[in-house]
Amino acid sequence: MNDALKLVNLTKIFSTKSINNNKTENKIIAVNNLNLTIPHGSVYGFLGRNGAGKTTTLKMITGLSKPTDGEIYIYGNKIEFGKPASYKNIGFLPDVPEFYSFMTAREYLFLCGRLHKMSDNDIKNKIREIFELINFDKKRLKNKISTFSRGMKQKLGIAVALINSPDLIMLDEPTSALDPIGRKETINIINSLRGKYTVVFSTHILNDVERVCDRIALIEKGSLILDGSINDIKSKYSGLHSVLNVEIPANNKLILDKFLEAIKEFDFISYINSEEDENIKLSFKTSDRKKAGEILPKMIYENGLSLIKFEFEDANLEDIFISATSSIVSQEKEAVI
Amino acid sequence: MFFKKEIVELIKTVKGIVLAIIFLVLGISSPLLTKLTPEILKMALADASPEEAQVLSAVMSAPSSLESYSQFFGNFNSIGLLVVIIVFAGIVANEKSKNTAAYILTKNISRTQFILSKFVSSVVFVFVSLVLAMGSQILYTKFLFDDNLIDIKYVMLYFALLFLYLIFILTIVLFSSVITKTVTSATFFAFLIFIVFNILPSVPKIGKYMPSDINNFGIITQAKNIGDLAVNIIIAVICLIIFLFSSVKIFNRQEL
Repeated sequence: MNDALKLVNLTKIFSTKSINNNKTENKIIAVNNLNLTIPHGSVYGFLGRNGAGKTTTLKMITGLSKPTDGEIYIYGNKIEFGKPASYKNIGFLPDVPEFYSFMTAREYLFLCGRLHKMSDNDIKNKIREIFELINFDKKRLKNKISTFSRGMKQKLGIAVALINSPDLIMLDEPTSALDPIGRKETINIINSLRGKYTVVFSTHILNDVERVCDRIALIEKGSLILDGSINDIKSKYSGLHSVLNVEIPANNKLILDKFLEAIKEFDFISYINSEEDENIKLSFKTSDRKKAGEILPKMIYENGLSLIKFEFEDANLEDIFISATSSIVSQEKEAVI
Repeated sequence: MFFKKEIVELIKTVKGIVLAIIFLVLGISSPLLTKLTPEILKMALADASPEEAQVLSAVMSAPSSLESYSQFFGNFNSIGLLVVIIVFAGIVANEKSKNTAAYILTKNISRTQFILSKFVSSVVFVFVSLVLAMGSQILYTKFLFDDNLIDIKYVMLYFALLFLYLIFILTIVLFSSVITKTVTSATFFAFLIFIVFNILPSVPKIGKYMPSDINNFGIITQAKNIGDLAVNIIIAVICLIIFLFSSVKIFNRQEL
């Protein structure tokens, strides 16, 4: 089977007129030469800070915005701006779905189903199937959408995204506007879609990503900076940016100072902090897990210290997110200087 | 399918109902007012001095079917057209500002289909409302003034031209709604374009060919015939096609 989604050199540049001088045209690069392949069947987290270009990318994929350059393919079919037939295989949920408030949930689902040229019978069967899947109370079908809570609207939005049985579901920050219970419910729904659909899920809430996604792409300033399975990225980052926790007996302050001084000569290890109770707990940051694992225990023994505990802390997504995005920002600052 | 949604929306949000009721009221009230105004004045004259009564009686003419249509023409141009602009100004802008357009357009519907559904549904509603106005105006006038001053054939012709003029107004409203992002700015632009088209007839040489002249009371009185307005009709049709085509083209390029 083809890749579910393929972005090739996708670029979006917005032109804005300068406030001070109308003749000057400012260009904002919202998405910068983005190349990304999302395999069929994955639950893909599309991560980035606010303003990183996530929503602009999703808008181009769903035909709401025209790419300045580049191409988009859904299961091998090229997406063309303004041609709905090219993106009909996508189910889309925007961050805040806006429905026609004069309609009932049933009327809106039927409108969408009929736009997708489904028969009324097929729509009825599909609604039954979806409502079971997402645990939506069928009695609410006859209620006006204007009476729905935000969480209910989000559920209805997911039902709308699934009504035409698309292969690819795109969810734009589906949990960001919800309370903890609504968030948990939405995450459970996304989990229930696993194996049935390919799901792309944009967010900056990393807890949600760790709970539901198997692969992630991280973008910053419109460019892709990380892409792969969460485990691969974690192990890659753990090798590069690990935290090392060491516990030694609290016996000799002088020896400890001498040891910490000796550590300074290695540029791949940096001392973070220490805590002292029964024992002394030291934390180090290392950019080379392997070397640190060889050198540190050796130095501890050479300095006459004994080792109670020595462990590497696995990098979590938050560390990876902060480290990866801030390195881009600092590179840009250096370039400006 | 989307056309059906538009019709249901106009009914459920009461906009279409308001339009129909106002048109109906215009059709009923014009002959009634024409008939009752002299009666009301007569009652007022009961308390007037003989000199004042004489002057007012001389000014007042006997009400006729012609006056009933003249009253309708005046009322419709001041109220009817404004209601059409206000009811339909948000037809696209409202969907853009509320993001409902961006959401529904990710489903299997083209932007051309989206715009044309809105246009056709507004034309259908204006047609139904105009039929109500025309029916009540003709029936009440016939009932209240049996003077045979008006040939019904020319009344029908007048309403046909008024319908064409309303379609032209609807394309102005649609265009304004497409180029703006809020209902307020759409209403403002629609009024602006409408006023410009109402000022244009006063421009020397070209003024007499402007579309607004097809809404012409002279058709009823036979002071004007269809041939006199042929150029105006052609220009009105060309303008409405341009506004409609531009609306579709612009909306097809818009980022939502």
